[in-house]
Parts: sequence; C-alpha cells; structure tokens
Amino acid sequence: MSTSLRRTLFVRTGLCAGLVLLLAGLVLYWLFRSGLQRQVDQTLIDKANLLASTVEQTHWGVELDYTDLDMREFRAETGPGYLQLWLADGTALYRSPSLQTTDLPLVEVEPESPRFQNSVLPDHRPGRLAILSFVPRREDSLPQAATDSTAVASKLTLVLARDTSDTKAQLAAFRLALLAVGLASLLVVTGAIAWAIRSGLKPIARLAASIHHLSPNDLASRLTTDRVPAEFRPVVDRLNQLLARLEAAFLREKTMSADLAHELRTPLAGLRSIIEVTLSRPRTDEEYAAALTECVQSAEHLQHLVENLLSLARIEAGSFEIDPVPVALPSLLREVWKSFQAAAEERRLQVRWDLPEPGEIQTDRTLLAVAVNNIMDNAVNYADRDGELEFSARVTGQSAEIRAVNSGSELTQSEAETLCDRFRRGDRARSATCVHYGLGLSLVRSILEQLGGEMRIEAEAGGQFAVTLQFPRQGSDRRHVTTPNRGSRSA
Amino acid sequence: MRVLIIEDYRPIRDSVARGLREAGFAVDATGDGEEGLWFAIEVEYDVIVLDLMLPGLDGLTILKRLRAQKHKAHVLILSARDTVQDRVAGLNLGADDYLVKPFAFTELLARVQSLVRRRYEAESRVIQVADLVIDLQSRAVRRNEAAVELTAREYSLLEYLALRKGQTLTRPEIWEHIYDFNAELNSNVIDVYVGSLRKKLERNGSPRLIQIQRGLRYVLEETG
Repeated sequence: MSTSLRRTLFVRTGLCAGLVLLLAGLVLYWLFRSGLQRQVDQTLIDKANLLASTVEQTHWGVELDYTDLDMREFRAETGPGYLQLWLADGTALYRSPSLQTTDLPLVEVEPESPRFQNSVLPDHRPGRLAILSFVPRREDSLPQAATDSTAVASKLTLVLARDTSDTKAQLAAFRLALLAVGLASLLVVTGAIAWAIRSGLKPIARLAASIHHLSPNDLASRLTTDRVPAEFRPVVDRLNQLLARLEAAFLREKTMSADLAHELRTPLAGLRSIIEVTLSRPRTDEEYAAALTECVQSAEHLQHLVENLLSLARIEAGSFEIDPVPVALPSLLREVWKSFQAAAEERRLQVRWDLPEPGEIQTDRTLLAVAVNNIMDNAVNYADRDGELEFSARVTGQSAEIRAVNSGSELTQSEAETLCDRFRRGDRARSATCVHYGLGLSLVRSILEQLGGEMRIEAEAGGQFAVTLQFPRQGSDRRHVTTPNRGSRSA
Repeated sequence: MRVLIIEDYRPIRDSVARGLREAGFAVDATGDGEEGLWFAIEVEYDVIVLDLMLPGLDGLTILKRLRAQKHKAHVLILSARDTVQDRVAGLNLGADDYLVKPFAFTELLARVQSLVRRRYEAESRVIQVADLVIDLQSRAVRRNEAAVELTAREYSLLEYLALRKGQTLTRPEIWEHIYDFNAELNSNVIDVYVGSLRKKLERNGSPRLIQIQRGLRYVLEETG
C-alpha cells in the first residue's frame, strides 16, 4: 500500500491547523471567561464590602443600616440577589427579603480574604457567591474590645449571592462565536493548505511525467533541471548521469558488434580476391594449389572472427553456460599458436615459451581458447618487425595465469587501459591499431569475467605490451552466468 | 601504366597485385602506410590503390599528404568501411574513387583502368592516331584495320605513348610508368622496345608514328 505524500501532508497539516485553532480557541475562551469572572467577582465583592461597611456593633447588638444603599435587587420579583449575614456562632443575623426562609451556604473564611464560589440559588438559577468575613465597626461610644474572644465573637460572615445567568449567556454566546469562527477558519485554512500542497507538489508531478516519458529507445534524452525543486536536484542530476552512462554503454555495445561484423569483410575480401584472380585465366596445378592454400589462411581468419562474434553475442545475450572440463594449458596454447605461426615468421618475430608441465586446470575450454587466440593475435600483429614475443603460463594453488608479451608497444599504460575499455563515440578516425586491440581485448576482458577472473594490461610506449589473464584453476560447474553490469565497467 | 597498392592484408595485396600485373600494369605493393607514402612520393604512379585501415600511417592521412603535395596519381580507396559518411569523407579528401570490400576483382580492374584514362584525359577506351587504333580495355591494337600482335611490354610502352600522344617523353619517364621496382633501371631497354614496336607498327609501309627527338625523347604523333 503506497502512501500518498499529498494525503499525508494534507492530513498532518490539517490536523496541526485544527489543533492550533482548537488550542487558540480554548485559550481565548479561558481568557474571556476569567476576565468575565473577575469582573463579576469584583462587582460582588465591592457590593459585599459596601454592605459590610454599614454593619455596626452597638450597645444593643449588631445593626445594619441599609437606608443609603440600593437594596432593590434583594426585593426584585425576578432574578433577585440574595444577602445573608451570619454571626460568629453560626446564627443568621440577617436575611434579605429574597431569601425568606432559606439559607445561603455558610463557609468559613478568613477575614480580609473573601471567597467566591458558584452555587445554585434558591430560585434554582445558577449563581455566584461572595463570602466575606469581617469585624463590624464599633459604635463610637463603645469601648474597645477588651479581649480577643470578644473580637472573635464579633466576627461576622456576609454572603452575597447573585444570578450569573447573564454571564453564562455571554459565555455561551462567546463560545458559539468562537466555534463558528474556528470552524470557518478551519475550512479556509484547510482549503488553503490543500491548494498550497497541490501547487507545491506540482514539480513532483511534472518530474514524474518526464521520467515516465523516458523511453528505452531514446537514451539520448535527459531530464530537464530547470523548475526542479532544490530537494530533487541531486536526484535528477544522478538520474541524468545514469542515463548518460547507459547511453554510452549501449553505444559501445553497438559499435563493438558493428566493428566486428565489419572486420569480417577483410578476410572475405581476401578470399574473394584470391579466388577471382586465380580464376581469371588458366593456371597451373601448382598455382591453383598455392591459391587454395592462401584461401585457407583467410578462411581461418574468418573463423576466428566469427567465433569472437559468437562468443560476444552469447555473453551479451545475458546467460552463458560455463562448461568446465580438464584443460592442459601448454597444449592449448601451442594449438592456438599454430594459426599464427606463419604470420610470426613473416614478421620475423622471436617467440619464447615458458609453460608449466603438466599445467592442468579445469575451465571452459572454448572461452579460454577464444581469449588466448585474441591475445596471441594482438601480440603477433602489434609487435614490431623482428621483435620478440613471450607466452607463459602458471598454475598456483587457487588460480591459473596466462601471459602474452610483445615488444614494440605503441601504447602507453593509460592509452592501453582506455582502449580496451571499448570505444568511445566519435572516434571515427580509428587506426587499425585501435580496432584490433580494442575489439579483441574487450572481448578477452568479458570472457575472463565470465570465467571468474580478470585481465590485466601493462604497456610501455616503445617497450613491452603485456597482457595477463588470471582466473580460478577450478571452474565451477555448469551454471548460468548473467552478464555483469556493463554500465559499471566504464572508465 | 604503374600502380601502387597500399594494403596491409596480405591475401588481398598479393592477389590484387598479381591480377593487375597480369592485366599489364607495373605494380608495386606494400603493407605499411609509411612505406607506401614514401613510394608514392618517390615515383609518379598513375593509380594508387589505397586501403584505409593501415598500421603505421592510416590511409586518410596518406591521402591528405599526397594531395597537399599535389601528387598527380589518381587514388582509389579500397575499404571495408561502407557508410555514406566514410565514402564522402574519402572523396572529399581527394580520392578519385571508392570501392568497398569485399569487391569483385574485375570491377577493381575496370575502375583502375578508368582512372588511368582519366589521368591522361583520354575520352574513351579507344585511342586513335592516324590509322592506328588502340583499345585500352581489350588491349587490342590495329593498324589500318589489321591486328598488330604485341608483347605485354611493347603494349605497355605503346599505351603510355598513346595516352600521352603529342607529348615528348624522356626514357626515364617512360620507364617509371611501365616498370615496377623489381626491374633494374636500364634506359636502353626502352630504346630496344621502341625499335621493335616501330617495326611492328610500320609493317606494310605504314607511316612512322613514333618519332625520336633530340636527346632521345619519344613522341607518338602523326607527322606532317
């Protein structure tokens, strides 16, 4: 199940926005409510203090003088306020008219620290109480309180209760408003988020579309890097790099096969030329025999090339069955050498051999023969006239090694290494050297990889050119070998 | 006429050289580019058959150098490379003809002969001087409708004189165009051949066509 980036982003930002809006709403509400509450309580306590200030301790006891105060609320028909005064001993000193026979709750409070609490009023409405504890002022003529107990005894508790319906309604209205605004905001924000996400992710959709349009038939195309967001630049660049390498690799494959096919023309032309010229007029038996012998040389050359081409095709087809059989290296080398003997003599080359006995290994004979054929071909053709060749083989505990050295190298080490790495495009003015070395040794490298080994080249311009083939002496049994990743083999 | 073959693949080189020699050409052949260029500079070949993929110096470079020196030989490129670009490149660099391998030898021969004619601006395959008719392709010579039998060397000499009819030629010059490197230079041999050629051509009292001028120069032309 694939996750949609868009959906994830949308859900997460939406949730965050919702949460933030919710929190903001809650905070706003709490602030408003606290403010409102404070206001209400202040009003209550002011009234309570005012009421308390009119209470007087007289000779005859505690007296309330409310004549100057507005006491209408305590007599109202609907929604009255309630007032009750308690003596220190718990008896009710005064009840407002609105109270009649009921009591307001009595709560112990310290003097100077009034308390507030919510309560249900006698008429069942929600209300707020202010509870004040105080010592009434003494009538002027009264002596000061003699003892503490007297003072304590004169502590009064005033409870003022008012209806909070209004407040509650206000709060409710506010709540509603907040909710409405919050929801509307959420909707707008969600819409904005959706738009932002969609337009923000457009480059991805574009990128996906252009990747989709890449065709395996057109490896020259690249992804455009303009209007690609910074986060994706490395990805696009890398992709383009890989495309370039893929293109180069494919081109090299094509060029190589084309060149090999091309190469077939030379021995074919030789055959044809010999035959046609020989047939152009009556010849002696000796002349016919000589011509036919020459044809054999061209035919062998042709065969060698065709085998190369076939090996290459099989390796490139992606699977190749390695067929390990016992192989005696000395006899293999000498046998392959036979077809080069004449050419070596014509070029007056000195040949040295350094072969182990018995030199037995287990490997795919066909492949190895093609590889050996190619390195000998190169050695013979690219040694200088009157030069020297050396062919050697070695078998150690785990591996086998075959080496072909020719004098008169035309290439330096770095040239040799890049040459054998297949052809670069555009190298149209190739000389015969390039073609022969490049083709043959590229194939040898492929073959050695199939055998689980490697090919090494040491070249020194004007000095020696040495090719070393190293591979396991025990090839594994019939197995399908997949072609190594050609792209990764490029220089 | 003299041909230089520069081709590194021996079976082709040897068989083409043989075939051309048998067709009456003087032929020098080499498999090395450097050596080929040196030959070409030393000798005024009529046609050079040039392979492109050579060890040492490659064919196109040789061609460029020859043209830079205004070498007069006509060049036929013989190559396995067959794309239009390859052919155009070769022709643009100064080649006169381009033949792709594998090729039919008869075609190569015909093209070489055509290049020889072009080299000497012969309009057709038949050259006529007075009543002497020389068919360049069949190598048949007739004087006054009667066939004249010539040896290969005599024919080569006559052919060269005819292609350059009206022009006075020195003996070394003639030698250069009808002998290859294998023959040791011996100018007197030319005199001998001229003598025998005259005898055959002037049979039945036909007027002399090969004139000798001061300094042992020869020219084929009508007198009068």
